[in-house]
Amino acid sequence: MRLLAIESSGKVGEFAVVAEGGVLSESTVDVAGRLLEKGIAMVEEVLGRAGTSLGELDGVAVSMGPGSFTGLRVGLAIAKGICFRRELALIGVPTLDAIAQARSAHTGFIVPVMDARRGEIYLSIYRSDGSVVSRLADYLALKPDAAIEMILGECGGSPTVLVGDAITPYGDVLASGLGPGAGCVPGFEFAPEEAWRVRARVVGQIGLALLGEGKVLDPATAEPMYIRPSEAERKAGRG
Amino acid sequence: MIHLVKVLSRSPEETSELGKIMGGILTGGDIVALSGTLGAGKSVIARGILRALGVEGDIPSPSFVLVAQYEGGVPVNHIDLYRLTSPDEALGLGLEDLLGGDSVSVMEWADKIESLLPEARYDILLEQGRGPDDRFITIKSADPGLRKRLMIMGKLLEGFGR
Repeated sequence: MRLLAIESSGKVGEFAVVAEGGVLSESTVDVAGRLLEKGIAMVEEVLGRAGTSLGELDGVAVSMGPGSFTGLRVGLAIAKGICFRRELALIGVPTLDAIAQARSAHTGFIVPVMDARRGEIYLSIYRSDGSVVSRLADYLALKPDAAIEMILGECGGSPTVLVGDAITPYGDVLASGLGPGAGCVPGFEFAPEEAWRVRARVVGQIGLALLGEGKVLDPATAEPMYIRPSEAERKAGRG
Repeated sequence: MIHLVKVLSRSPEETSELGKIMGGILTGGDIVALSGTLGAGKSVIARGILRALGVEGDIPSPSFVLVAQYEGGVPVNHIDLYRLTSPDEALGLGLEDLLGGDSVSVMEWADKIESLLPEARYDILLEQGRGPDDRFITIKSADPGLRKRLMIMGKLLEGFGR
């Protein structure tokens, strides 16, 4: 099976063509709000470099969020546009799953943390046995102190790794909340910065597995997973 | 150079799907003017657009209130001018203030006030096709910047280069 994978949850857009054997091609661009303009050319480019075409694809896997509202919306629109009437499978991959999956070699707890802006962190909690990753919690948007409380509550007895761009704004707060004496046994670490970004190849890899299980989306109803802002924020926003 | 996107939709579901793809390419300040006869699918495509813009929950027809405002991922105005009797009435509604800014405006029965609309807008025309559920959907714009985005949408739907 061959999939086109789209990752556009952040400032960088990435497209890849993947098959069971691995990544056939991959291309990254700093989108800065121009994902739509650049996206189509990039899709053509990755398909060309993979020596394939739209007609030879089995589906499109797209990073569903949480993340940048505009990025996710445009990414999904591109995916839906490609799938429209072509009988290609549309596969949605939760973005936090993709971040966690990329750290699957870590035995213990994996906590992807994304900067949700407005003082919150998108996170969930995963456990890996060194190869198979399973999710233990919902996809959430939490204030740093609530996130720390949740991590302390869930992760004990195995090493915990935090990975994601929320480490930039909240690294100090998280480190003091989870550090020595705070009860995170047997301790935690931050993944190196180069591992924070979501990769299209991982979105594609998870997409292949989901497609194998028949877990495809209906393009008519598929929506990005925004994860709603907290209640106070919503009230202020809706007036 | 493609100047417009024209698609045959074979069902309300497909019309809604096109709305969602369209919604994906919109940004704050964009205006979408929908025209077509009663039952042509303006509300169907409008709801698709609103969903893609992150509007959740019920989207009732704004025919009686004329304007419904939503806070999706961007602010969205859903406008329905069906009950409007003259363009002057639209001015009374404060339409000029609603359009533009950071909000995306999606307007049904826009042809009623065409003379009042800025040129930088997307026009979507829905027309009855041969079959009962067939609709020809034409999307175009007189604005060069918006037309470029439409060209990309057209490429997407038609399968690139071909």
